[in-house]
Amino acid sequence: MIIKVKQTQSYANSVGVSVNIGKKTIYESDNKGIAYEAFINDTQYGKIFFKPAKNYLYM
Amino acid sequence: MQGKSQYNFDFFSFACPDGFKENIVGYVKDLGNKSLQFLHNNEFNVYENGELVGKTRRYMFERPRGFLTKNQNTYYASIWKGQNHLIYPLNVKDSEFYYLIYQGDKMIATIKIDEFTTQKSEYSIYAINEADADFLFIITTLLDFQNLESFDSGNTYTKPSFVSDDLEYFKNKFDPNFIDRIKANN
Repeated sequence: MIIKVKQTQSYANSVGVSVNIGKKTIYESDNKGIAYEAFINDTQYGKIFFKPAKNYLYM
Repeated sequence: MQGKSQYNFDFFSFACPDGFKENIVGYVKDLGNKSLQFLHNNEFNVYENGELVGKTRRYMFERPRGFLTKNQNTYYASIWKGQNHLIYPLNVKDSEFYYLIYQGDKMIATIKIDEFTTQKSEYSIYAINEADADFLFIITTLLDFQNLESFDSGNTYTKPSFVSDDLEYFKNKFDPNFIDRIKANN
């Protein structure tokens, strides 16, 4: 079995909104995060979305 | 995973036998003939439909290198649906980077880093057919995610921390023919 995993959204380029005071993030919208997709034989197998500053979430 | 299961994650520090200290947890564990100082631990839990199915702990340790300097390295211990795994990062030939996943004394998968830059990362997972693809996908993203130093300090990436291939304990885990066997059977 061969699985390809790609990061499809980086945190810096994600479309959500974050608010930072100094180095501390105090607010982030639901769409701010990192996304990954997995493929087996070029067919999408699944997606994972990590959100910082909250529990991390699979979507 | 797709359409089959809904997973949720959480991620936190946990206490070592010697107790928790502000981001520094230290104890010594004997790894073969090496005594290593462990510094810090994180635990990553995976829930499937509300039930805890996976638990992964990251162990960071340091070992002496020269008179004053030390190397810091990492490995992972993971339980997934009752099966124990150990995951070793390994740098081979200075330019090839892998994570080796063992279940007991059997290697079930090798994760090869195809690309790792500030904006993009890609991995190829070569695994025996009996391996759990959900676990492999989740653990790969966890490993990538943990290479992000901090989200609230400028969104910068750090390079993965890999054990150099001069540490025999990890080097002996590498099977150079494993990937070719998986490709032949795919």
